Amino acid sequence: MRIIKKNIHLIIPMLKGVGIILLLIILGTAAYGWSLSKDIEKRFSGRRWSIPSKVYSDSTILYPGQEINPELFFDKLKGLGYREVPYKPAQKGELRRKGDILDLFLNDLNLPIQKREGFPVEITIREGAIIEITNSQSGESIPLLELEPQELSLFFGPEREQRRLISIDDVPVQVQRAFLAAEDVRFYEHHGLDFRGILRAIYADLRQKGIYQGGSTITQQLAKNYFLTPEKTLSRKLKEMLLAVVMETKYEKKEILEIYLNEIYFGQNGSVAINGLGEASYSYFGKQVNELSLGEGAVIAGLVKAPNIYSPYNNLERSKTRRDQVLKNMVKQGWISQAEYESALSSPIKPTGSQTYGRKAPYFIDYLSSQLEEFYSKDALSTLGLSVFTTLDTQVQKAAETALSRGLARIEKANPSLKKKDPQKQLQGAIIVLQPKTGYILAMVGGRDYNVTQFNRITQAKRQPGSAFKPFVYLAALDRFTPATRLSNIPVTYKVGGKEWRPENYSPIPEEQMSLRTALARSVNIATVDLAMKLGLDNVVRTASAFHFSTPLEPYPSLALGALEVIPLELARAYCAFAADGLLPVPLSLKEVSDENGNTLNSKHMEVEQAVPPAKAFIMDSLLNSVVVEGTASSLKTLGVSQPVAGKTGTTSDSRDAWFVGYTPDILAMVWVGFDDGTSMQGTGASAALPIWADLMKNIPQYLSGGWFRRPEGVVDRVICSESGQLAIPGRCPDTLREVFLEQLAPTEYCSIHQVQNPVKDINQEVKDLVNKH
Amino acid sequence: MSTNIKPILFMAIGVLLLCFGCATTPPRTVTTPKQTPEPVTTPEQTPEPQPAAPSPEKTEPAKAPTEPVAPPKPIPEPRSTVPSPAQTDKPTPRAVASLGLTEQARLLIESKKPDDAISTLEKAMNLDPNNGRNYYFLAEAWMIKGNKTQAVQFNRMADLYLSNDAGWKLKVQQQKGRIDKMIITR
Repeated sequence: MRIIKKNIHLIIPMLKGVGIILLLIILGTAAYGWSLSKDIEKRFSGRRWSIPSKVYSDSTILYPGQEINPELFFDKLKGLGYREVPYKPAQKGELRRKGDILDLFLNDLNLPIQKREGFPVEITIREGAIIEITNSQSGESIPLLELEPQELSLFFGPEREQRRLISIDDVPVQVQRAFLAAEDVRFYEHHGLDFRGILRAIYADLRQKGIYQGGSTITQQLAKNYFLTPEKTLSRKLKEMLLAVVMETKYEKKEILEIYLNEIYFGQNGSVAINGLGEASYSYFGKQVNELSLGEGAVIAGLVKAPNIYSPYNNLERSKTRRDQVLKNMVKQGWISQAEYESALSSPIKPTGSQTYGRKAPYFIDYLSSQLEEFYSKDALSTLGLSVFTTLDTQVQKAAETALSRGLARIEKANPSLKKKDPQKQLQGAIIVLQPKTGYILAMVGGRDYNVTQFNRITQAKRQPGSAFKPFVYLAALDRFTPATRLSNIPVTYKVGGKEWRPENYSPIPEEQMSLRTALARSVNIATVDLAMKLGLDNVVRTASAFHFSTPLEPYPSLALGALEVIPLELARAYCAFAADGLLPVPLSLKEVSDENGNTLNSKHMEVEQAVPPAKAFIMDSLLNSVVVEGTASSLKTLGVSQPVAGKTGTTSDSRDAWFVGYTPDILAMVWVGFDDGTSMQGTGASAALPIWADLMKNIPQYLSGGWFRRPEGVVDRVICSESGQLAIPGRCPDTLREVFLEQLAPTEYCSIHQVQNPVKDINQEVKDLVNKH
Repeated sequence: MSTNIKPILFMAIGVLLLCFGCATTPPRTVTTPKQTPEPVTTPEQTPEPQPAAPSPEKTEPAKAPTEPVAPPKPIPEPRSTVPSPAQTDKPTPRAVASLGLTEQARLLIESKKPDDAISTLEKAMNLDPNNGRNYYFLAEAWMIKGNKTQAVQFNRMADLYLSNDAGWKLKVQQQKGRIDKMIITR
C-alpha cells in the first residue's frame, strides 16, 4: 500500500498513458474495421441477391418439307431439356421416338414477342426431312413450329471467371449442411470467430510450432478471400479475424453463407479455375446446384479444404475418404439419419468427366459480352436477371465445332510434323457462320479449345487473307473490265520502293493469257497483279474501303495478293455483301434483352448498307462460282457438296494461313487454319480449310436450298468464244461460253480469232461441195 | 473489169453466208436438271465441240456423198457461267414457311408494332432470303420507325425481287413514293 501511495504520482500518469494507448488501439481497430466494412460491401455486396442474367440461343423454326440432320436435331432437343420417355408424352418436356414418328410435348415458348403454352405435337421424320408436323390434340397440321431458345450461359460478375452465381435458396439444405460439416460446424452459433476452434488450433500449432492454419470459420475463410494475395503472417491473421467479426455484424448468416458458396475456389478443370458452387456442381457432376444429391454435395464440400488433393478427377479414393468424413460429421450433428448416411456412403462417386465439361459456344458468348457492354454494365448483367436473346443456332454451332476439331485432327494425322505437344502451340483454326442477308451470326468458333486459350481468332486475330482478298481486286476491275477480259500471265518484275518484286504463281500455269474469270477461279497471282496494276492500286483500295475494314489498306502491289492484315470477322462480313445483292450487313449477335418479366428492354436489328451495286454483286457471285466449279475449290464436289456454291480459297506466303470462304443465298461460312505464331501449316486453303467447310455444310442441310442468286437489272448474257472472249461466231468458235456482263460493258465485236480469214478460199470450198452433191 | 468484180462478189456472198449462219441456230441456253449445277468442262479439256441434243446426229443425211466430206459440225452448246437450279412454279416448303412469318409480320405492322415486325421479318428472311415480300414489309416497318435510310435500302431490294410480279411491283413503286416523301429524321 505504502509503495503505491509513495509512487502514486508515477502510477497515475502511467495508467493514463496505458489508457490512452489502449484507447488509440481500440479506435484504430474500429476505424480500420469501419473502412474494411465499406470495402467488403463493394467486394461482396454486389452479388448477394444477384439473379444472374441468362443468355439464350435463337429459336429454331421447323416446317414440313425441311431437311434436317436427325442426329443434331435430337442433340438439340436434349440440349433443350427434353427427356425421352417410353410412353406417349403426357407433360411438357417429354419426347418419345417411335419409328418415323417423334412425339414431342413442347415446353412453353417465352419470347418477348411471343408467348405460347406448350402442347403436344407429332413430327414425322423420314430420310433426313420433316414430312409433317401435327398438333396431337386437334390433329391439325402445323405449317410452322417455333422451338424455344436454348439456354447457353449465365452471366458472370466482373471477374469473368468460370463462375455461375447461385442463390442460397437454390442450394439443397443437406448440401448447405455438408459445407458446415466440412468446414465450420458451429457456423450458425458463433459470431465470426469460433473460440473453441481457435483454442484447439493454437494447441495444435504449439505442438508444431507454426502459425495455425485451422480453426478458420467460414466467415474467416471468406475474409481470407477478401485479401487477394495469401499471406501467412500474424498481422494478416489478425486482420482476417477483425474482418470476420465485421462481416458478421454487417450480414446475416444466410447471406454470408451465400457469398461464401459463390466465392470459394473448388479446384481446376484443366487450366480453368472453378470458383463458386454453381460452377463446381457443373464441373464435377454436370448438374445444376439444386440437383445435387447428398453424396455429391459432400464430395464438393469436402474439396474446399484442399481442392486439388480431394478432387475426384485427381484421386477418387481420397475424394471418397474425404466425403465419408463429411458425411460422418453430418450424422454426428444429427443433420442426416443413419439410413441416409449409409445410403450416401454406398453410392459411388461419378464425376461427369472433365472432357465433357464445356460451356456452350464460349467464344460467341465472349463476343456477345462485348456487344452487351453497349447497353449494360457487367454488374447489372450479373444481378438483374435479364434474358439475353442471341442469333446463335446451336445446331450450326455444334456442326462447326465438330468440323473444326475433326478437320484439325485429320490435318495433323496426315502431317504428323504439325502436331505440337504444347497445347498452347497447337495448330489452330476458326470458323464463323453468318446469314449474309441479315448479318445474323449463326455460329462462332474462335479456336480449337477454349479451355486452352480464350483468344478469339475470329474477332481478335489479325491475319493475312492472301488470295482470299483477290475478289476485291476483281470487284474493282468490274468498273472497266469484264469476266471475259484477257489478262496477262507473263511474269513481270515490278519496282516497289526501290526494290524489285516478281510475283509468281502458286503452281506453274503455262498459258500466257487467260480470261479474268479463269484468273480468279484458278487464283493466278501474276494475272491478278497485272490486273491490279492496270486498274491502279488506289482504285483497288477505294473499292475495298466500301467494306469497312478496320485494318489499313495500303496501295502496294502486294495488296492484290492479300498481303495486308484483316480481322477474320470483317473479311467474312465483306463477303456477305456479295451474297446479299451488294448489301453489306452489320454482323449481329445480340437480338434483344428483356427483363425478368419478359418485357423488351433493348433490341438490335438487321442493318444494311449498299457497298456494291447488285449487278456487280451478281457477277462476282458467278466468278466465285467458277472457283468452285473449275478452280481451286473444285474438290468441293468430291467432298460431298454439290449444291451451287460461290467461294474463294486463300493461302498466304509460306502457307501461314489457309482460308476458305464459301456462300450461297442462305448461308456464309468462313474457315481459317494456321498457327498462332505464324509457323507454316504446310497446306493450302483447298487442302486444309475447304474440307472443314464441306464437313460443316453437309451437317446442316436445312441451310442448303440449292438455290442461286437473283439476276438483277443491268446484267446481260452473251455467248462468247472462250479463246478470244469476244462474241462467238456460231459454227466457227469451237468452244463457246454463255458469259454474264454488265450491260454497259457487254462485248460488241465478234471473235477475231475464228473469223472468216480468207472468204475467197472458203467460198470456193462451199461451191465445190454444192457441185459435188449434185 | 470482171476481175475486179469477182472479189467483191465473193465477199458479198461470204457476208450473206455469215448472216445466214447468224440468223439460224441461236445459241441455246442450257437448262440444268433439278438441284445439280450443270456439269461444266474445264477450259483445258477438249476444244472439240460438245455434241448437242442427240437427235441431229442420229439423222445423218440419207445420201452418202461420193467424196468423203466431214458431216456438218453440230453447233456446240455454250457452257453457262451462272448456275441455274430448277425453278418450279410450286413454292418450296421453306418459301411457304417463310411466307407464314411474313404474314405474322404484316399483322404486327398493322398493329403498329414495328420492332416486333422487324424481328419476325428477320426470321422470315433467314428462312428464305429470296422472299421479296420480306423486304417490302421491312421497308414498311422502318418507315413507321422513321428511318428513311433503311427504308430506302429495303424498298430497293423489294424492287429487285418482286419485279416479276405485276401486283407487287406496283406496291413497291407506291411504297417508294411514300418513302421519298419522308422527312429525313435520321
